[in-house]
Amino acid sequence: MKLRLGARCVIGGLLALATQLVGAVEAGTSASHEPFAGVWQIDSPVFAVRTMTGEVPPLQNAAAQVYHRHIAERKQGDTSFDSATWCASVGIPRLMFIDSPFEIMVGPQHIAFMHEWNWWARVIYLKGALSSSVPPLRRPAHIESTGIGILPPIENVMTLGPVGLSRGEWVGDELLVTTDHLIDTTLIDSAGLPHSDALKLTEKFRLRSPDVLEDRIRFEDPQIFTRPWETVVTYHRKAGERIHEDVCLDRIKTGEPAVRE
Amino acid sequence: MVFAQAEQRQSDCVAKHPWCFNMKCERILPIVIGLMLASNAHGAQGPQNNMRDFSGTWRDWQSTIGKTQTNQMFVIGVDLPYKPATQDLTAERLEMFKAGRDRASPHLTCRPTGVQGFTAQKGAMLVVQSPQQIALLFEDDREVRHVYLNQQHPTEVKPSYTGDSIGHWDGNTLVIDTIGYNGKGQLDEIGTPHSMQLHLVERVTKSKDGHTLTDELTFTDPEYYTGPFTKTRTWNLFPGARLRDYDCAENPREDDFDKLTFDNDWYKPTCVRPVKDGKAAEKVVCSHSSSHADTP
Repeated sequence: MKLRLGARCVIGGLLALATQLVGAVEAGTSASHEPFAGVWQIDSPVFAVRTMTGEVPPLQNAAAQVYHRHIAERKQGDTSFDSATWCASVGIPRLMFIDSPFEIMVGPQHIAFMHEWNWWARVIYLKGALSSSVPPLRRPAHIESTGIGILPPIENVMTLGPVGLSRGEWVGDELLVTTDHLIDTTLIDSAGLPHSDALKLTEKFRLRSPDVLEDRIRFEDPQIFTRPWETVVTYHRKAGERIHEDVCLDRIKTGEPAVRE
Repeated sequence: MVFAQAEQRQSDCVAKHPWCFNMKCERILPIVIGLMLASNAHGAQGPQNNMRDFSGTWRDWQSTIGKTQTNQMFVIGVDLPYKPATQDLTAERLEMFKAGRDRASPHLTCRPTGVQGFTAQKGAMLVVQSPQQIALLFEDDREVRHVYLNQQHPTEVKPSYTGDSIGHWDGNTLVIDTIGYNGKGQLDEIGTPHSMQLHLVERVTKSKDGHTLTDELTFTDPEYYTGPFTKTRTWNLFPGARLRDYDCAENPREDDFDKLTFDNDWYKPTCVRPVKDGKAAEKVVCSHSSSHADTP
């Protein structure tokens, strides 16, 4: 009798577990992922990103020269090397470093990072969210020709861009995100750290506590860096708050900086 | 008596086998099987069967016809209940549009497009939703709309390009109520106007086959129109789409701004890339001389 009851319990338990798993896979989310949702703000804004050991990222010689030129130009008040000066996107990963909040929404196939800064959003595509065919890289036509009012083509092409293409997966309670297709017209940080079109980011998001989100970022860009390197940033939850419409071009019109430093 | 025995067996089960949780093992089995079957059936048909689940990627049905796009498809300002002055203004903007001298609107000067961003929308749209909010993200013009569910508008709405949107479910129809526009935007590509008084009510419904979203938009703007009017936009399910980056402000070529008609200096650029003899300069030049300009 006890064995029979135990067997039933095993079957019942396994089936219940299977049902939960089917539901979670179907929805693409689980209760452990929901706490990522909310409005977040960086604890310590990053002006010049450093490695985990506090060092300048391991730059190739040519990239180091560019970086130091940017630093020198900024000291002289010339930020024309930084396209964010005229409100072009600061891009990824810099959006994760600046002093501006963002909201995360978690969907079954997509996770949206909606940044307040100039209302930029990054979409993280989970398994099944993107069509399987990925055409070769190319720059968007509207950047080659003109910046205003030109329609991009309808095709689902995988162009380069400032936010790039982020693919993610849940690994236990962590969100693992890889990002590439990042155009080299943006900078990694406000100090002027350059990158190439080959930059690949691997981010591990986890909750250190219910109200503290960690983003550990690994940088790979063999054209710029001598080896992969990592950094980590944390964000605190802004409970009960919303993100607001922020229009960079209107702000610089009144003399405010494009990016708060 | 039977229940008492079952309770005892359940108690024994839980004591010996933690995976029994707190379920009544003897009776839960058929329920679990039923739930699992129901869950599998749902999975086989996909989430589109949930009429209140709009999540996923969509595109403007009109802009995919024949794989060609014409600006006619973006025009909403036909046979509207114009006030006489509004009709004149719209006609004037239409002439500028036809002549390639478009009005320097928020859309063309890389601000949030506002209403035109989803009535004249061109690329894919992503919907992400939670019980508290439905977010609509558009590839082009990179609009982001936050629709807060089952909430009230703030007592004092700060005017913005995008407005303040709240929503609720009327059966399986999502009703979106938007106010708080800053009056700088327009309703369509040619410049059909709206004011800060615009009150926009949308009724968004998913088709039973899950492949279409229909957005019925009712505009009320007593400053420019004699009465409310309604237009409909339709979206097709567009699974697998990637929203590409659309960085409008990336390259502020001087000659692009030269093509525009500025009825407000606010939209004149702070930074431009000078162009001489058709060749763009390497450096963008910024002038903050208008730093104390008043907003329009």
